[in-house]
Amino acid sequence: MPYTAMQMVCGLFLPAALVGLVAAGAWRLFADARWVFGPLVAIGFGIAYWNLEPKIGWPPNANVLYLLFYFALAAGILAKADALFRPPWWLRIVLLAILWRLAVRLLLIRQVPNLISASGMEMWIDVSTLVTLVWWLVIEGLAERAPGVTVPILLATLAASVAVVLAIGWHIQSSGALAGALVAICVAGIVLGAFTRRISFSHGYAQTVVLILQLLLVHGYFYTDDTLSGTQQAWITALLASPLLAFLGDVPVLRRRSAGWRVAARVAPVMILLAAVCAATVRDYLHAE
Amino acid sequence: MNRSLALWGGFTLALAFVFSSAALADDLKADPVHSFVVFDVHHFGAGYVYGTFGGPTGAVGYDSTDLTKTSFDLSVDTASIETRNENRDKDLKGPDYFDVKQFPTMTFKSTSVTKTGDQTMAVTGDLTVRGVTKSITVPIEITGTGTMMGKTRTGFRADFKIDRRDYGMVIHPEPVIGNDVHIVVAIEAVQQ
Repeated sequence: MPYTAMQMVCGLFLPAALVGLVAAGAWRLFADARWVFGPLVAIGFGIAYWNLEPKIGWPPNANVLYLLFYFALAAGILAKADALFRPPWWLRIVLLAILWRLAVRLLLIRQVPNLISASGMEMWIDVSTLVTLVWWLVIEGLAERAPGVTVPILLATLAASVAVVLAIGWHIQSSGALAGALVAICVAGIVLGAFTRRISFSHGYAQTVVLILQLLLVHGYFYTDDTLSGTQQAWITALLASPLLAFLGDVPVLRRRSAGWRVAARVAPVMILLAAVCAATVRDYLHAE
Repeated sequence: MNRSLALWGGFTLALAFVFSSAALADDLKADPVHSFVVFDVHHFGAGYVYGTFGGPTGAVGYDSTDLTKTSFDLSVDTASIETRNENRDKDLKGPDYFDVKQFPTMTFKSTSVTKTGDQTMAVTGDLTVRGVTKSITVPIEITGTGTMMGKTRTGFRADFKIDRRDYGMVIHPEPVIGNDVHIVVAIEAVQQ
């Protein structure tokens, strides 16, 4: 067991409880409390980081691990601004891309020129920006048109898969645990969504979780000691593409079906693909033992 | 004029003193083939896990007549860690432990030496691991001198413990993995 019981309680359950209870209170007091989610998820992740990965320092680029912590706070602030000011889509994309590209640049700059060339870094910044924007557009769009449990279930599934890939596939248990903290936060979201149908996870919740998950993945990809095989690269590509399967819930055939059917149609294909990714990751790990 | 001459004379004497005392310390170079870094750490409060790093490289300034003038400036390639298990080695090289891509070396640079016996000394220096620098004092023993292919070799052996948490390695708290890591550094340094 990589962590003590106290670390598990404070790193996993405390952030989830904080997000669940504070968000429930905010949605009871306000007609629209989406602005609470960004900072809450960021603070929850910060608490998890503090308990599971108590390595924090200044400046943020002194150790790329610190970046995970500071980036989460920045993502939370951006999400709160997004919820309060409701900028147009194009401006949201521009702001998100600026924050993301800055974070990835700080993350990768230490690897230049030893492991990656300057032009290679630029290419990876572009590619990761594209993937992150696709994730965000898919999940944020889903959060807009499908309130309820769909988005937190989808995010919990993605976070769980990222946790397995990081901890078992790429041998970074601390990052896996941080992704696990996001799973717990998403479970809190599922509970909220199940009990209060009017809660929306757009403009804050989905964006913050997506950004943190993506940065955990990028950090893991570049800082693991593993040399990823072609098969592993294929599985991680499948993981990155998996949110697109949620569009299956929007096929015309399902329009007249019940809400439960549509949730299942959106979530189940993603879950099946991610289960395959996790199974392959565990099999590779056991094979190396 | 006389005052100026006296100043120059004093300066020359001071320089001569500095260089003569420096010349007493032999410049040795650690031979990585015959140098070792071995560590062990308690596992679940039961047995011990052993591991090695590739031999350290760097310089040793050795003065057999005055051990306090001895100096060490050593570097170890963190990616060379090996514990005879592939998964464990990947864990150790990853961001949870040595984070070798971000911190490819760990270093020790001595700052002062105290003689503790004919062949022993206490060496204080800066140990940098994972970007964290801490001053530690290490007992070092001179294990002998020999000649190989016409070059004099001197052996040094350090045996000490560090707390891994001081260097940011906080995952797997005790009793899973002991906090204290016992380290033996054995260096064979060759005269240049």
